[in-house]
Amino acid sequence: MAALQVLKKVLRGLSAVAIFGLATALAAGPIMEQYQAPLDDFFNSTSFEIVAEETDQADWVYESNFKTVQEAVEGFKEFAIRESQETYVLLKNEEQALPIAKDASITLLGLRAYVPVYGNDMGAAPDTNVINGENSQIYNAFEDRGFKVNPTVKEKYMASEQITLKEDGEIDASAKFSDTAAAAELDLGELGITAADYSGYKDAAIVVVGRPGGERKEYSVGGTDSLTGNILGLSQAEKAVIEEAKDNFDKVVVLVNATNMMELRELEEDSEIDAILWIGYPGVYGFYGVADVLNGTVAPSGHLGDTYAANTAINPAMVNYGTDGKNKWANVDEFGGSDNTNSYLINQEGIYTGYRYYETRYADVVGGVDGAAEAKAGTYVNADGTAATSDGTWNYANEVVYPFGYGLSYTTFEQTLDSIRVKGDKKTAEVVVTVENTGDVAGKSVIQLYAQAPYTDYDRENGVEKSAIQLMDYEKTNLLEPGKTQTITLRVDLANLASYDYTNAKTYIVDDGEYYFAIGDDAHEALNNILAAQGYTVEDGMTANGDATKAKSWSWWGSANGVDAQTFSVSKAGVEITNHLSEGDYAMDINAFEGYENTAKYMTRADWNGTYPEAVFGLEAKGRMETLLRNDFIDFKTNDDVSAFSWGEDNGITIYEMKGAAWDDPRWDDFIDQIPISEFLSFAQSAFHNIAGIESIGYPGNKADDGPGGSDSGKMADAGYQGQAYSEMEGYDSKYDNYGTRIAPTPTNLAYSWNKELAYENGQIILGESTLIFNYPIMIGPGMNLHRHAYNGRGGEYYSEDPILSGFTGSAVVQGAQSKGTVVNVKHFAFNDQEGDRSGIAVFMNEQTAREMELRNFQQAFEANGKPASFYEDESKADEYTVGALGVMTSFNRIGATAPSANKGACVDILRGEWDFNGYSVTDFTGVAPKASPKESILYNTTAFCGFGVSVDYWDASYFENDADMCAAIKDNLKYILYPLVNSAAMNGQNISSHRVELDTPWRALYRNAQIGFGVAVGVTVLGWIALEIVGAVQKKKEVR
Amino acid sequence: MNFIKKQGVMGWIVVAAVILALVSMIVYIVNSTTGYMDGNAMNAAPVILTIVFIVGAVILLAVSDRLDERVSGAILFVLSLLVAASALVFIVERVAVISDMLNPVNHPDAQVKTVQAAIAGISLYLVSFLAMVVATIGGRLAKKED
Repeated sequence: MAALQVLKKVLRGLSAVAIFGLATALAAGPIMEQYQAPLDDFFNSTSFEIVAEETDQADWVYESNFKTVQEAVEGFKEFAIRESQETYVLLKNEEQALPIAKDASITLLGLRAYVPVYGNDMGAAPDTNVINGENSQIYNAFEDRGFKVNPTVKEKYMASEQITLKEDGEIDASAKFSDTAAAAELDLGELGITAADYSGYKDAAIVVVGRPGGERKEYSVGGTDSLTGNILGLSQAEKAVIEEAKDNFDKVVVLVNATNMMELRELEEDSEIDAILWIGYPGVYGFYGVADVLNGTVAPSGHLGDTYAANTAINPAMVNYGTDGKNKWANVDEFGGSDNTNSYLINQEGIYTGYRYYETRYADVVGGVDGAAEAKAGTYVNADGTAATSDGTWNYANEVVYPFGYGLSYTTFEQTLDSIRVKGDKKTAEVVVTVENTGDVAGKSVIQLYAQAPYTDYDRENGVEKSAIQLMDYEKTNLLEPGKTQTITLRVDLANLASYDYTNAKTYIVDDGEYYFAIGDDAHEALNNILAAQGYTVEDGMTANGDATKAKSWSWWGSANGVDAQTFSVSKAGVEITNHLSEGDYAMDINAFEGYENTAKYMTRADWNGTYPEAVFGLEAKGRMETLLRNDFIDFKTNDDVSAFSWGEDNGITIYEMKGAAWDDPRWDDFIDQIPISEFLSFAQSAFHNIAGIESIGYPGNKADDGPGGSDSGKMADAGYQGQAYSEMEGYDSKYDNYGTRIAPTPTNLAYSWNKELAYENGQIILGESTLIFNYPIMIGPGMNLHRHAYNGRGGEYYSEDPILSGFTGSAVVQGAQSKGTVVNVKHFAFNDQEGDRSGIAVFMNEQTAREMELRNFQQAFEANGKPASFYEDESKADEYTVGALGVMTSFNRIGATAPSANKGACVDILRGEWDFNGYSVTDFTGVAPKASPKESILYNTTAFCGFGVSVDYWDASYFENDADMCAAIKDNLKYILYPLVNSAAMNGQNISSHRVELDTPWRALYRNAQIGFGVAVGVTVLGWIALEIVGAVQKKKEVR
Repeated sequence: MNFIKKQGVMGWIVVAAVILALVSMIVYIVNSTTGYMDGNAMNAAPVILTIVFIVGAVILLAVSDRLDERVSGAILFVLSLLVAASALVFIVERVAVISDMLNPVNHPDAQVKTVQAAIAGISLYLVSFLAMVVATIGGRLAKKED
């Protein structure tokens, strides 16, 4: 009896435990279903597939090039190496030190020679499974190409306790030195390396120096032992290795393994450094390409897409740079954490970043503009690159080591500016350039076409700034054998030469005056060519005399009041262009906010020294600014007439019937009317690696992936061709199971190739083929933020400092990817140029800067601009560059004071209005949280929120359904979602019979088994307890009797 | 016998569970209305459930010596489920913000603190629940009268 009593109590207690367990398991089910994507990543599982009952070849609109896993692995590898070969920039080559013999005996020195930076960490990290699987170390790649690599030095490096080896004795690629606070380098003495170790391998010393990069990485100014004190200068430890090479080798070659612009003056000026080759981040296979360039198999043809300054910390853009807390809002503590309010960034330098600053100030110095050469202490550099500590003279030669566009070859080219023809409507021009290979080896030449617009009195009076030189277009020649020529016609969009006048005309303007086109091997040379055409020489302070024949001028004339405010006042989509970022809630100009007038003092070339930016610290968030920073600034309307909107209609149209539907297909309204608001909200809240389904139209959802450099999570074990898994095919090799597709050089490398066709192919293969073989219709990429300065640790994921080089490269990648059915998510729209405080930082600038720099850059991809010259002559490419990017991801930072997705000026008026963007717009990992300003973002055509979960209380149809503006926005948003999807690889292989099938996964088994187990436990314990209570009661009754 | 003197071991365990649940509830309220969660709507369910639990537990402690063991055992069972439900709702409410930490972006300090406090609060609820399970098994809260 006593035992039964004890058992009863135990069962009672266990019942509570079992019920709690069952409730937890039941709650876990839907939660885990919501988090399918990360769970699939973690368990390496696939949670659903889309199945069509009967398919035929016609259902496969997009076709992969790779029918087997071997074809895929080899195809990605072949492209990665070919791409890499064109991206490396030869910066110095004294007495033709390069190329070196194919069988040269060389010694690799420097930590980065053994632990190189293959690519960015995190957001675009190269696949370490492939690196390790292929043993893609530098020394292996070099030996594979024929070099004899010093084994003694190699062994001594690999014996270092700081270097991790795999079981097979090779370097472990995942064991990288990724700290951005100090340069990673080892001491040769401590490694036990002596001069005797170099014996037999003294044809050349290859020294590799590098800096890591990646998402969340940030470089700080100063605080190191480099000459300038900057982390981007060479450390003493690195210089010691270089000195060792100089002391022991006749030929010293330095490879720069970094995408952040390093300070290279010391190497450039050192006569004992024979050659410098910028290799950026070569990706998994790129060191084969490095070897190919070093040994002359390929002549280098890359050119810098950024300015390489002597001191990266001394320029106007760096004044307000900071992650050290100085630019926090003074009253930041008054904000709640979910307000996502931290700091602000004011781009007072205006358009003068990168070469626009250095070259324009140089032109004004040469032109004798009053005060252009005067410089305050701390705003210019000495001859050695250190910061000047007293007022003095600004000198271009001191400031810039390698200008934008710089790059050498093993051969020489002669470029001739044959003709320019400005079309009658003045909107486009045709420029014909002939290139001849005048050297001894085959090579590719880059035609860089620059322009100069006049800086007029009108501009000075109205705060319109003009760069003395700006890139307009570029083309890369075919491989030209010695003596061969190629003539290329560049079709120039003159809209990119127009200036945005936000103060008076409030649209794009073109001043009457003399305009120049010039070619040159870099921006500085092109500017010198224009200056030469204008009559200037070295006597006027030029760094070298220019070639006036490489510059041609034309006049813009006849405008009312000397300013043409008509020609570029309407966008290509036919929308009037006017201010959208200069007034009101969506202003990016901080001076437009009440209480902040005259806060920003924008730099002007009319007074370089007087307007050199001074940091603005200690601002308090107040008034309307404060309201906007709290992310809740538009109330729902409750009494609108919403009778015009239909939801949840039964019109019998499934998504698969809409496959391939054009934007103006008459079925769209009936199709979308089937979807209730609740399904839109459910879709919008669930966009991570899985895109949620929409039940009413039979949309089963899709997978998506993070993909600036290829698929983040796809592995060959999951890949296949037209619905058949590679792993189920005969001959499949399981060694490729964990191989992914993040194998190419980093995006900065791609831009430095200056090759639009190559960028298009990158889009086709790296993004497009990832879509097709893994069935990921949505790929989050490419990354297109500008390099505003050298200190963004994530800069390698983006292209360039220049909006045209970046914009055309990104546009080509988008076109290539879309040709394979990828829904791209061009990111991060917009103005993201630092990782510190990136989530919530409020970025301010005037509208001219916004439009002519970052937005002009993105605009190229959304308007499908930058079509390669060769595509005009290729009928098979007739359909390319007809539709712009159909997807975008907004940024972490704010645009002005609002969340980026809630800035109407940027997201609606410019992106969807002026640029006619009709695609999917997703936030960057916000979830439906206050920081994403969800209702405002919905209203301004954000279609989905990447991230986890809902943490606002209004995420219910009842809040939206009585607000006519919200209803209209949701209708628009649904079309913006579905139009790209029905025209993408999401429909590939599908037909009207297609439907979603859920698959068993380990995590589903986990919660289901838990539900069953706890269910049984509840039954057993509760029933047992009740039974024993009854038995006890009966026993008690008997005892009473 | 007064309230304190009459409590047996199990009674004190329930007292401990009540205190833990009270602290957890306070953590939940603060966690839901300040810092990273400031401005978000708070789900009142854990507060209501915990208050009902505390009131019920206090009443039970006061009268348990007059109740049949089966009745007090059943009440303990129900009370333990109230704590369990509070913990469960707290967990569900914080899944999003905790999951968000899985993404390697810059998480504000406020979010990190919110997650840490939430984990602490949930843990206290779970300890309170386990104490109630022990009490439910033990059954008799008051000391046996001599």
